[in-house]
Amino acid sequence: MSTLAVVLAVTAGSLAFRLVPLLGLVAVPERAARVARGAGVAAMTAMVVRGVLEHRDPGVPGAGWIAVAAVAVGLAAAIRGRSLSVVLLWGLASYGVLASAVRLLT
Amino acid sequence: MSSIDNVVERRSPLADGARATLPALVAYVPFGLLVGAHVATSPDPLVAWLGTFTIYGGAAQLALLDVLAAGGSLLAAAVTALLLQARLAVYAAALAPDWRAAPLRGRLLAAVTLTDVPWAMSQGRAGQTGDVASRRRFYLGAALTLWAAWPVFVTAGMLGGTVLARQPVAGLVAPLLFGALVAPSLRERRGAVPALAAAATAVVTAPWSSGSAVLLASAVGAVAAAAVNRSPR
Repeated sequence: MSTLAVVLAVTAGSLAFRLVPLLGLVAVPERAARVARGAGVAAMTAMVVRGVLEHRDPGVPGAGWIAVAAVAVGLAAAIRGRSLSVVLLWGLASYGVLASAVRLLT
Repeated sequence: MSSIDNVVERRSPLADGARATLPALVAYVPFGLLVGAHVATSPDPLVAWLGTFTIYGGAAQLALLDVLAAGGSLLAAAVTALLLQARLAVYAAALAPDWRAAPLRGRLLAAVTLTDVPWAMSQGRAGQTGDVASRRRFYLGAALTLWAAWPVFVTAGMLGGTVLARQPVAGLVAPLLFGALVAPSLRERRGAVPALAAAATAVVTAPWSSGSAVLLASAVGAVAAAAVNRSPR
């Protein structure tokens, strides 16, 4: 019952977040839309940073720094215009190689 | 007209959007499995699973289940999940000008399927084509593909796909995915400045809950975006 109440509340809120601007229930001028685009990029950037900061790998000393390096490699590939698949492959492979190297050296 | 021209003419933005989303689906697999594993251990797995369709936000669904599993109150679970979902209002506001003249059912479909990846992909597409109808179809192709695939991943996670999801490296898939989607914006000042402001905010607010930290970073990014849009260059 408690799960149902929370799921219903979050469903209603999520629908409102999605529907209100797109159904035109509030007017969104072009200038506000440009600011919203910047805020959207900011939200996704924050999720990237938090994802890296929250990374844990008990078997690897310094896993946090390896995660930073791996995501930096992926981002560098993305900024150079590589495809999503290549970005994922380079980022994950970098983590695998670096983590294995650290495990061997420690 | 040559056969190559014919093929180019026939390329559908809807199919382009669906195709562009396929690599992102691979990235969503471990995340979907992880959410599914949490759904399976919920006291009410059926309701938690239905939330996959109705909430349609993996991070919010995961946060909600985690707070409840840790003995948190209903209010704390709802607020945490809603703070995470609040970014959808920002995405919807950014999409609104493109959908203003669309039929109601199209706007409803766009809203119900709105989440991070289709939004970011449609913003990337906006830089490539000035045709609004084409951009809308591209967005729907991307959004509907993810909307169809996401419940499959969560359901697979419920049925026992947790081994892959619990690999430490799987936790890096989401940052890499979102990073790849945001990266094209970083080449321009009006994308780079909000992103840098948000990154600094995310570091400073690291001890906070995800929902409040992402919401604050988004607000700081909005202020930075407004400042950049106001400045002469």
